[in-house]
Amino acid sequence: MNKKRLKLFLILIFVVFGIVIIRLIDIQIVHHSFYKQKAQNQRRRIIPIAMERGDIYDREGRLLATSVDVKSIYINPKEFRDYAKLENVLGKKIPRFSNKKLFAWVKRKVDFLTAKKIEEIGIPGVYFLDEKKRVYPKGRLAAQILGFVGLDNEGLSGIELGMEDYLKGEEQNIVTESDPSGYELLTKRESKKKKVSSGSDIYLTIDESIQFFAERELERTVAEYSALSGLIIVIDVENGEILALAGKPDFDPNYYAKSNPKNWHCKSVDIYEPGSTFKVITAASGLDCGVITLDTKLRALDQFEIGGRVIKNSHQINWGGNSTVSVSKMLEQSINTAVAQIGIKMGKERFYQKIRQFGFGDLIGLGLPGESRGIVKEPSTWYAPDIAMMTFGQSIAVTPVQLCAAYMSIANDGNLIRPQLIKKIQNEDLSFIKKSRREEIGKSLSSKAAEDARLLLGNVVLKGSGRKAKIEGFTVGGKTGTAQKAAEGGRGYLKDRYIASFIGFAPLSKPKILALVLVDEPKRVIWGETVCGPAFKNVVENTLRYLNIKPDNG
Amino acid sequence: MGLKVGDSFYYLKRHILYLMTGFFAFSFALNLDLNKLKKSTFPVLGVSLFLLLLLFVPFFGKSLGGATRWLNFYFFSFQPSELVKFAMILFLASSLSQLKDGIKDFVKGLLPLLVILGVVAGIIIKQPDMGTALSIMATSFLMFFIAGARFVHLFSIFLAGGSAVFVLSFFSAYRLKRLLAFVDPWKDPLGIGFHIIQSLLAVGSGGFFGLGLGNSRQKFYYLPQQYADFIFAVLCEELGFIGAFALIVLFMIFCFRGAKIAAGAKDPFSSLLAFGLISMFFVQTALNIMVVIALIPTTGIPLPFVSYGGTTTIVNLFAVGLLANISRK
Repeated sequence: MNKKRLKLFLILIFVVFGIVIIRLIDIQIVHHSFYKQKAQNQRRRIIPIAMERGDIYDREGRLLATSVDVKSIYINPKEFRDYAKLENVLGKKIPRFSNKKLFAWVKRKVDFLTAKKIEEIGIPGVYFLDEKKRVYPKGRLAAQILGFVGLDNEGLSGIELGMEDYLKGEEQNIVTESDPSGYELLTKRESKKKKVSSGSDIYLTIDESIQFFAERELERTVAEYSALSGLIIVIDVENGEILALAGKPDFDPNYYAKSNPKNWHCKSVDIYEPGSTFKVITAASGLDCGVITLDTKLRALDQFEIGGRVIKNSHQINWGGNSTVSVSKMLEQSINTAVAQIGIKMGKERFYQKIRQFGFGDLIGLGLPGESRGIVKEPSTWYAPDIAMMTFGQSIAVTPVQLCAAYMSIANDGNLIRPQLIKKIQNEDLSFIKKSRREEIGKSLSSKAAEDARLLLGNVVLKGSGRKAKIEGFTVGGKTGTAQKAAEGGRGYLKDRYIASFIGFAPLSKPKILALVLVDEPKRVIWGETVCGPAFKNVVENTLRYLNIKPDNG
Repeated sequence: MGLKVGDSFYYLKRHILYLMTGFFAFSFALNLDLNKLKKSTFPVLGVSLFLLLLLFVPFFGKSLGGATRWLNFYFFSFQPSELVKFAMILFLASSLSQLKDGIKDFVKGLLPLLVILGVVAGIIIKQPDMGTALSIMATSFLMFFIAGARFVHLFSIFLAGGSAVFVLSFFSAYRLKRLLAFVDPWKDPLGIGFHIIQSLLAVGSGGFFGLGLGNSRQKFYYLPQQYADFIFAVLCEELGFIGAFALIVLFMIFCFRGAKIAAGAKDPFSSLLAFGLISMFFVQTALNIMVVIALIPTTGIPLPFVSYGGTTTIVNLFAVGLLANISRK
């Protein structure tokens, strides 16, 4: 045997295994973490566990939204052949799936009768999966507040979306390792969280009965004036709890997919220009700052010019030959030129501060999605006419709920109370995550100014434009509004398009119930008193009697 | 995959059976008269080639994983190419020991051997079993080299063989895929690159100390042939660099010991036979490991003494018996 060549062979062995060892060092030591991570990632399966979604109730525990067991049908296309038979029972065409697939949905969330029928026939390759389906037993009632959920029970609108984190429960993922076909490996399971809990139940501040009155009144009003839409808010003045929040036209959340998406959203947290209802805020601010008293006389003007803009009244005022007008008369007759003088007396800074103290420009946090904070411009950005226009609710955008809160502070001696929609959030184990309580979030007025403002509001209903809101046996304070609609996106106002509104509370001597009625683009009649006054009266009267509030007026 | 569901010891039980059979093969080889063995070169080669050709007869051939490599008998199946490996070594040892310096003559010495090698390798490639063909060719090449063939001849054969393998790759879709996957496995990690990547992930996640014996994750269907051709990846994953290094050192010691037996053998035939056998172990070990760590394209070669497999275990133990036999004399 050739010794030299044998030596070369031995060197070959050394070289080859040497390369192998260098390569192993590279893979196993130098790049260890890279490969380890990759290997782990491909085996990881995160399995989300569906928790039972929480229910939604009204303040008295009457059920508004819950989940029921349903069956979903799926097939294993590898085993499934009899398309015709299944199509027959379901009454719908089934797409032809590739037989390489192992899973395909046929129909999600079918009713029990159909599921039972298919189970009895027993078609090979057809399987059922237990799922939960959201149902709203009261149908359209409070639909815009409740919202609805998607196919996988995820909140898509309303409280279902806004309170999703509470309703859906703690998210539970189980992390497992599995082989390429998805079979779990017998390795230890790691759970991200220890405790599994279902979604929490939510109790709204809404009272089903009051909600029902409000919706019925609103539906009638919107129909009577062929309006685009309407809104009624009823609030308990003492604690800020919203007793009714009605929006029309609405929809049935059980069949939301068949309804007009425009009707899904609750407009109570959207912005609008409040118009004349804001005059009360201006007058109260003036009283609080001391620039006016109840005895102050304002100049009687049909129009005046400020910063190149003419401020006019929306209707011809009968001055009765006087050159001045009282603050009370200004509100009773809703005189733009008079209220503007109060704003000018206060000046930009003070007026702005007061507006902010009423809560405008701040989020309330009702729990509804898409809540706006409103638009209150900084004084430095005001145009010259703004100080006048804002006094009667133009050049400023607020949400209906903010306006209610501001009026509520007048009813509460100047204490700004946060409006609430969630009464309590209750855990599975009956412990509370949250319980609503009266929450003072600021002071808008001195109690004297608030008292004076209440007097003025009473006069509007007694002698002024709010007469249609009178309730037998109760003293009522309130204010009408007939706001020109601001052009969307652009500047200026739309001709002949108005938002009619009425906001007020009763009984005036010891305020208990506040209500806002808002009608978007009423036809034929546009005036807040005519359009909204009767609905306000009916809703508030019904509510006061329902709550057994003692009459304070005869 | 031939996994019998429900018996986690299926492979272990079968392998113990093979080992027991292999022990008889070892004892038989240990006591074999080498002169008689030399004389039976042609019958052995003839029988193994006959069995090899029998694969192409539909009734006998058993297909697994797209290749017909097993002969099916009633109670066991048998891989003729494993036997051919040994037959070729025996044939070359016998021919080369007779040729002596005649090997330096290309036409009279090397060419006839090359023709026979070409035919045998060709049949095996046809199964298809590129891995076995490759190891037979490489082993034969090493035997020509040690027997004293001229460098210029060897170099030409190497070039010719290399380009033949390369060209063949382009004529077979699956070989081309393996070649492309080798060049860039990450280009198609779920397709052609899957096996290479899974193998690297197994080796890499082992780290320095490994996950511990039996703790491989990759062996659960991520790795192809995790009990056979890719067993080294599982070993790397479970025993880490330490374990892999130790195994390689053992193989090196084994190869050196074999080379020493070849060098110290009494007659040229025994010497060449021992060298052929040890070359075979070296070639198979090196190719198998290099496939697993992606140094060469994927080709199916078992890792001697480690991979699961009946014929290969028995033939390997028989070869070790022969080596011991030669060493003893």
